[in-house]
Amino acid sequence: MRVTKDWLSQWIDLPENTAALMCEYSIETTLMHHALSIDPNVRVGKVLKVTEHPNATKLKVTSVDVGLKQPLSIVCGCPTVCEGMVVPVACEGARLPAGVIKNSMLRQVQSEGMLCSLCDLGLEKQSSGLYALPHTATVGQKFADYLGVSPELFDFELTPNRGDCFSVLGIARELHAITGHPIRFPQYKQYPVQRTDHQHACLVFGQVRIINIQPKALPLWMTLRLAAAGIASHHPVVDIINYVMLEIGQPMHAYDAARINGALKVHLLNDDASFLGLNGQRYGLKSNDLVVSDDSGIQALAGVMGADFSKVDHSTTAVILESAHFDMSNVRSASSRLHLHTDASIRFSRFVDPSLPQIALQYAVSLMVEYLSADIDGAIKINDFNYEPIAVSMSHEHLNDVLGTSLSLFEVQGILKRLEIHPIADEHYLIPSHRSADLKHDHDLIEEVIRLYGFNRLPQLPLELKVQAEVPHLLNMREQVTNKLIALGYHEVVTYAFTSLEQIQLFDADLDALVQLANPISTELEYMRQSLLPSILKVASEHFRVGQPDIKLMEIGKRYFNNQEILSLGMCQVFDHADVQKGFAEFSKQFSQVIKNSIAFMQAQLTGFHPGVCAKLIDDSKCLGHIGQLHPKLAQQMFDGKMVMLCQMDLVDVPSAQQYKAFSRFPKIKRDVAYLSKVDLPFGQIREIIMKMNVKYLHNFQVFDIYLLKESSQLSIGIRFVFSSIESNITDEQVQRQLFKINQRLNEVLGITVR
Amino acid sequence: MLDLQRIENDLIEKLLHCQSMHGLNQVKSFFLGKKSEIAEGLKAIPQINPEDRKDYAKNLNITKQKIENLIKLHAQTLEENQIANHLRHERLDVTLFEAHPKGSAHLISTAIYDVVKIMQSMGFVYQENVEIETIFNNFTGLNIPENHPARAEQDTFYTTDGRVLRTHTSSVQVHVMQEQQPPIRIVCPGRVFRNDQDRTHSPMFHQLECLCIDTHVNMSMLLQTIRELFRAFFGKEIPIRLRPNYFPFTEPSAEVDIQFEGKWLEVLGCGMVHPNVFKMNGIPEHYRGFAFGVGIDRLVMLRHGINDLREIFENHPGFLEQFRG
Repeated sequence: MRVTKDWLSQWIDLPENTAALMCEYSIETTLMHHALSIDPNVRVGKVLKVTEHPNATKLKVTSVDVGLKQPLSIVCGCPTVCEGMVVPVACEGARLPAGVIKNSMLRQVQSEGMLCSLCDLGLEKQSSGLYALPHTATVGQKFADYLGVSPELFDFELTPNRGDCFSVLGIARELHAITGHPIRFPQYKQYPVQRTDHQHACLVFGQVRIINIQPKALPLWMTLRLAAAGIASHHPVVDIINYVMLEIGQPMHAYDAARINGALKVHLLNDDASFLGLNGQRYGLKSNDLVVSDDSGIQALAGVMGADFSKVDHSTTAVILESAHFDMSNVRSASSRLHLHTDASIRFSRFVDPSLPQIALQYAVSLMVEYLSADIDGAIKINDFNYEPIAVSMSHEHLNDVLGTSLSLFEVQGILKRLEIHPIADEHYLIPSHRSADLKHDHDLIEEVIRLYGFNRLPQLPLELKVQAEVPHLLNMREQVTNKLIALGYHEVVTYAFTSLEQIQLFDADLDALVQLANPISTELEYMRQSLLPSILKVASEHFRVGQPDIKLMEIGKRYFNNQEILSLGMCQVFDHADVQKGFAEFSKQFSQVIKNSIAFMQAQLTGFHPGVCAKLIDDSKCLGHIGQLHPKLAQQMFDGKMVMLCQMDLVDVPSAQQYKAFSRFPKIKRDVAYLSKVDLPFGQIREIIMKMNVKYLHNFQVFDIYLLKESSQLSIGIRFVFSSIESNITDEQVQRQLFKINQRLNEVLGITVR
Repeated sequence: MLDLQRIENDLIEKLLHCQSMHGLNQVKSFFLGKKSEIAEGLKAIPQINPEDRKDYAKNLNITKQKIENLIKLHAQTLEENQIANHLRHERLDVTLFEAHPKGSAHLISTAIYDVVKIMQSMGFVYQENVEIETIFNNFTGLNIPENHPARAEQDTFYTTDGRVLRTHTSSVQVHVMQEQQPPIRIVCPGRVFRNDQDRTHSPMFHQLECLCIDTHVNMSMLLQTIRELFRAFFGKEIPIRLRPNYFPFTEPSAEVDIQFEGKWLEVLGCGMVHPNVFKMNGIPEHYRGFAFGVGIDRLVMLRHGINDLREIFENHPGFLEQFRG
């Protein structure tokens, strides 16, 4: 909410650092210059003399008194200029929307300024001529001072709980609570009030008929205050009720009296209905929406917007002003369902003081009478409403307990009194109507006390140390994995969790488990990712494009499915050579730094990977991910055909404290055996068979040599077996016996022979 | 009679010109070998008349000892010279060395690890969490009922199956309260999402939630905990200030700003857990709690002097390389 400084200072004396005080004790506030501010070099001037321009028929040369020793000579093109006229004059140096005013020669005649219309000053879009001021205006005064509108305004960042602050009055109350300065209420005439029956659907409903409305312009200070607050001028009647709303917080509505048929009733809709709002949009209303109707139909969606049919326009001469207290929940549900947020609905959704409707009507009528020469038709009609102050209990001891303070009761009550919250017996406090929505419990009052006492004055109280058992968790694991990969030259990246369907389908995806956003930023970011690889590759290809050498990237992040989220590691390396054997060996060696030893590679064919260079990562028959070469087709698109290796693995098992196992203290025995096998036999099968045999004494085994025998097109595989025993030295014979078993088994199952 | 002094002098003369082990061996056999004067002299001992024999033998042995020592010493010198000579040729340009380029952890990750460790040292326990949340966990359970203006303010991403991408890590509070018994102290970092994108807003960013529930915690302890966190994270005393703010799930609520280069910047929201949140999630009334949520990305920007949030998620090599481990 924006309020010009002059407006607020009319209500309360402002301290020097108003914005800072508001920030510290109330709501976030910024003091800023507004776009409508008028340059101090624009002054009130009186036209002393008007003569024809010697060299131009359409121009006049004027002599203007702006309070200086000498009158200024100003060339003017406006036909309405005449001697004796008082106008705003932009003197040399004045900054106007069209530029800075300079002394210049206009067709050989000196011009030392500019006589201004409101349009020239940026105060309206189009002007019919110079802005004529009353003759009582003080010549030479700064025009901004004359208007009484300050160049600065306060921007208040209102929080949803403080509907009471949604007005100049509300802010003045906050400032009063902070500074103790008295509040000055505007003076206005009181009009007769006629009590009506209570309408069941709303707490307070008031209305008044205003007639003989003259099509007059409102005073400039009023329209400027509205404009600075961001409220466009529509019609003098609407402007006045907006002004009252901004000033005291009560939203109102004006119906064109000529269009209203019978009495206005507030009621919940029985059936769905269509409603054409005064903004020209059609809305579908639902049963139980709160509306205001006359005999011919719905004239307003209560507290949200009036109907197009009965809206005020320039032919309007009589209006019915409505000022009511609509229920917060009715307004909230309608405006959020229809996505229709108006100045009125925003206020009603938060809270409007139920004691305001009558005051607002009185105030609005007096302004209409004063500025539009209108008359009140009869009396203000409103049901009787008396606010019964709520009593909230708050234990003084509890307050100090929750805050960790030792505030005296005197201090506490002093703070609350400045908020118009008064103590009654037994630690109970009476809440004024303007705070009746947000101060209902002791914790609400405690917050008021501490914020106005000052959060920054809270004492320093250490939290008692309670060390809790810290179990190993995924974050530890994540840090360890990252650190290992960093040591190998990997950069960790952080990429978006959302992506496009196209990206998701680059790799194998579970389309049935996709999580789709109902309101994505764009179709590029419409789905939650199922793989880290597309986004890592995207970053890698950007690195590649800018000529980055040694691209090694990793990310640890979540993958999203409709029934689970999985934390995974993704890695990618771009190679400068095309030696697959070497590349895969290097990449998988790095990868092996961060995985459990029990993980096995199982040859696989997966979307996005090279069909011949891809493996699933199997741990205890569970697939934890995949590793392999990026499909050359994709590599061509993204990396000019460079070889790219990538892998993804789920981080699921948190390592727990490792358990001790008895180990061998006797010398190990190594045996190298060379086998002959078919060319296309994956070593994984040999490994699996030997593993399953549970060979006695076998400590481990690994391939140390593998090559193709050209003459027989067979593969020679050299395996180094290491044997050991926990109990004793093992003999050569014992080893031979075990090797024999292995050889026999491999021969039986895979047809492998010892070379 | 042998002139022992002359033999010594001869030896010194020879050694002065001897530059190799081979030469030294020759010198050694000349002075100590079977046919050397010393050897001859030793053989002659029995022929010396008895009254002189003792002195003769003694002097001869002293000289022999001297010769042996001198030769041994020279051998050592030669060996040292030889090694030195050898090493002179083995010179390596060690200035060719450059540290193996390490990679880098992302600044966000580092900050998360740091903050979690700091909070762990204060007895908070790391809490796992989910990012796609139910509407209850993200809003209702945190005292943000349907149609509440605070819901509209958050630019929430909704999924087509009626859930939300959590808008704050506070949603973890609901899980924790429903699954654990007080006393509770948890720290929970993670990604959060809002449908908003500009210089200071990214649709995905990072927060860290801390929740402490016990019988006697208070607002002053909350503030002190936050102070300790910032002191540890930035490695120095950081000016902080609290301002009133509104969060539906805490009351009293406050916003914490920290001063950076003369400006105050919002980094954290905090407060005492709202009684409605306790009620809705089954925490008995006699407990009290405080909670705070800190913007990790903000902390990173401040600690490392980054002005544009978007750079953090851009992953540009120039950015990543600056923060090598």
